[in-house]
Formats: sequence, C-alpha cells, structure tokens
Amino acid sequence: MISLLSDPLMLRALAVAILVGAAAPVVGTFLVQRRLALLGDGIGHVALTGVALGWLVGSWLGLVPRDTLAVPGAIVASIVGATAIELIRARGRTSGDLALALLFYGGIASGALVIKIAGGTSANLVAYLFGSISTVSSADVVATAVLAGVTLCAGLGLRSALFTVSNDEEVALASGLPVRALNVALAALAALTVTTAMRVVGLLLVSALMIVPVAIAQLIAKSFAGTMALAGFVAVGVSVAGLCLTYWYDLPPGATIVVLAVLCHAAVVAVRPVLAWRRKRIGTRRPARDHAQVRGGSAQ
Amino acid sequence: MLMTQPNRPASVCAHDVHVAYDGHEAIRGVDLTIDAGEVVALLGANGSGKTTLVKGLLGVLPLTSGSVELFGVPLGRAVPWRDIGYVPQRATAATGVPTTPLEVVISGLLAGRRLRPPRDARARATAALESMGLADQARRSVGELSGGQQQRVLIARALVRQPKLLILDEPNTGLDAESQDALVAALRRETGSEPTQTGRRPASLIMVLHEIGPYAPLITRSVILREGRIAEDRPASPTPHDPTHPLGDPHHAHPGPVPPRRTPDMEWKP
Repeated sequence: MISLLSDPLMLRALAVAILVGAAAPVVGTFLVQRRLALLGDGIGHVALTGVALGWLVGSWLGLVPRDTLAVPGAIVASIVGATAIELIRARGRTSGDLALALLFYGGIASGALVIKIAGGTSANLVAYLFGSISTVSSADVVATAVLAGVTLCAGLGLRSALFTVSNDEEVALASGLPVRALNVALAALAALTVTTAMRVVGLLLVSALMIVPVAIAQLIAKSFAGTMALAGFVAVGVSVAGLCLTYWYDLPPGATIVVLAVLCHAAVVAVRPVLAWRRKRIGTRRPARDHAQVRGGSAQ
Repeated sequence: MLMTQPNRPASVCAHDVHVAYDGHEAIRGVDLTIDAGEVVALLGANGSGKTTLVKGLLGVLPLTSGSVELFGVPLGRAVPWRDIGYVPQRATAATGVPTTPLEVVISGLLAGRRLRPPRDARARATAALESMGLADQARRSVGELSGGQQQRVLIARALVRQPKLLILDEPNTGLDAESQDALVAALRRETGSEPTQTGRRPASLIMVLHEIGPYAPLITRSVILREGRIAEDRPASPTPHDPTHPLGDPHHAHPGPVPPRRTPDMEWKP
C-alpha cells in the first residue's frame, strides 16, 4: 500500500480517477433521468473523430508530440456532436434514435479514416478507445482538474434547472424556462465529461462511468439528490479500487474499473430484496412515531 | 366575488389561434378570452383538440398562426410565468431516477428567469404537499406512490406557485376517491369558493374534462370544442340540472371507465 502511494505515476493516476469519478455521475444522473443513457456513447464516438482531427492538425503544424491537439480536438468535436444530437432530438420525435446511430458510426469511421490521413494508424487510437490512465503527466492532471471542476460547478450550480427540465420538459416549457438552452448546456456538459473521462476508461467505455454508478445508486436511493451523491461515491470507489487492482495485477485499468462497476450493480441487485425487506420493517414502525409527533404538535 | 376589475388584463386572451400537432392542424382558429376568477371547463370528444389548445395557450406547442396573451403579455419570456400553474395529463410522475415528491414540487417554484429555488422553497413545497394530503409521503420515492397520489404530487407542483391561472388537463386520470376529494377541496380554495387564510385573489381555472362530475359546483363557464374549433361557449350555472342540454359531440363516446364518485344530481350528460 505504501509503495502504491509513493509511486508518483500511480498518484497522478489516482488523482485523475477521483476527479473523473466525482464528475461523471453528476451529468450521468441527468442523462438517466431523461432516458438518454446512450448519449454519452454517441458523444464518445464523435470525440474519436476529434482526436484524429487534432492529430491531423498537430502533424500539419509540426507539433511534437503529434497528438498535442488530440484532447482539444476531442473537446471541440464532442461539444459540436452533442449539440447536434440535442438539436436533432428536439426537432423530430422519431428520428432521434436514428440520428444517434448515424453519429455513432459516422464518428468512429471518420476517426479511423482521418488518423490514417494524418499519418498514423488505427493503433494510435487504441489509447483513446480504451484509456491510458497509466501514462498521465502532471499537465494531464491539471487539465483533468480544470475540466472536472467546470463540469462539477456547472452541473451542481444548474442542478435545479436541469432537474426541472429533465423531470418534465413539457411543464418546464409551460413555465417559461429556457428549455432549449438548458438542454444544450446538458449536452455540452456531457461532452466535457466524455473528454475528461477519456483518459481513464477510454471513449468506448466512457459512458459506463457516467451511467453504471447511477444505475447502482438508483437501486438504493429514494431521492434524486441521494442518487446523484451515492453515484459519485460509487464512481470514485470503483475507479480507485480498479486502479489499485491494476497496480498489483497486470490488468487494463479502464476495463477493470467498468467490470468492477457492473459487478457492483449485480451485487446490489442480488442483495436488494434483503434491503427492501428491512426497509419495510422500518417503514411499518415509522408512521406510528410520526403520528405521535403530529398529535403532540396539535396539542400545543 | 368573482367580478373582474376593468383595468385588470384577462388571464388568457387568444386570437385566431391555430396549432398543429403531429403534422395536422388540430386547432383551427380559436378565439378565447378568460377573465380573472373564471372557472372554465374545456369539453369535447377525444381528438377535438382540448389538450392541443391548452398546450398552444401555454407555449408548449408553437402556434402556426394567431396570437396568445397571458395576463396581457404576448407569449414569450416576459409572461409572468410564476403566476401560471399547469398540470399536464400524465400516467405517472416517476422518471428514470428515483425522485421524492418534495423534489418534484420544489421544481414547480422554478419559472421564467428563476433558475434556482427560493430560500423558503422547502417550506412552501411541504405546505403544498400538505394541502394535497401528502405530507407524510414527502420523502418517499414518487414511483412507490399510488397513481392517485402521483397525480396529487403533480397538482401540488402547480399549486406551490400560488398561481393566478391554473390549467389542469384531465385531472381525473387515475384519480381515486381520496385524491378527488383533495383536488376538489384545493380547487375550491384556489378559486375563492372557500375563504383562504392568505386572502389571495381568486385564481382563474381552465380544466380539460371528459366529464364534469364532481367539479360541477365550481364551474362558471363551459367551452366545448369540436374538430379544433369552439362549438359552444356558454355560462354554466353552479349546479347544472339541465338534463336535456347536449354536451358537445352527439357521437361523444366515453372510452374509459366513468369516474366512480358522482351523485346523480351532479351528473350532466346527454
């Protein structure tokens, strides 16, 4: 354990994992509430084109290393892609699903094509597809902290408004709220999260870190705020635990983290009947106490 | 008591409104003015455009032509949205993530330019839930509540603003006897049929209804839609006893089960 914490590479990786683990479920909770769990995946595919375009521009400009602009490219492409998905979704009710599919395939194919034009091979994309947390630099940690900070501040600062729009878009419209702007803001936040989490779990698994912790938390929590908080703890927990496992065993970090999260989900589903039974027992006791309080209050 | 002051703008003023829904024009030229304190039943057969009209009035669906003013302000950001409460037709209040009734009702305090709940949001939401008889359910998950309780949560979300215009779309959907009593009591308070402690001015009310049923004593006016146009618009006496008057479409069929709580003298159908 001490050797783990004295390894600067491992410390940097842990810092990134905690930042991403805390930020990803904030956006993920809104996406699950809107039943847009796959939006992150669509954005991830588009972000790959951005990585390749960043690479292409980098090699034109003669930058060293050539992937200096990969992350900025991914940010730009994913925000453009997310906004496009949102606008398409808002325009037509039926074509949203198809639009998402087009972006999935268009994104990943364009990425493979552009990276070849840039003088690389598809192998150069593997680090982005499956994550490369074991190679993070100090600059990467700072960049991740900034991106995660922006996501957390915007996601938590706008949480009431985003909740209202995600909970009932029709009533939000009938309340004069800026629904379109809030939807685009959420899509842009999802895009930022995807590019932030890209280093940890990779673009193919990015959505898992946003969605699976929420899927676990909603099995236990009663409230929206509780779900979001618990999902954050779960995501940080599985990210740190998965990373530590890869320190002792030769395992791919991104895949280990996601498999851990999925196993957690299965475990919670398995013990849930027991939890529900206990809650029921507590629940039958509680109304009696509340009743006594009400009576006590009215007597005053 | 329900007299309108001449200088106060109408709650709703719609002029030659056309609204398209799913590619066809569901509302085809509606003129409608609703003054403060009026309680309007919006009636008509299925597909006559009741819900589409309401959505057009509230800006949920865009108008293809015509104009709507709410409290004298054309539809848009400048409308005093905080004064308008809307209860859409919903089978459930649950979404993909567990949510408590308190969280749903607090979201009703956001409107117009207010993107964050006010400081006293929790107290106001609790009071709104209490008025709908849901105080002890405030912290459960909405998905665990009965259909009627969920509907009451949605009504509390609209009432928490203390609206001056309240619009309910088929509030009887899935409502059990207890929930219907709570709703009727709440509407009596809102429309000034019963005195409130706050001494607020009575709200105007639009109810999309299939059947007037228990709301008959409240209703001051009936507007009957047929094929996207107003077929009839007449004042309704507080207790209609006119059994001969045809209500809306003569081919009007009731597809769903009739709400259980009706006394024979309140019944008002062809």
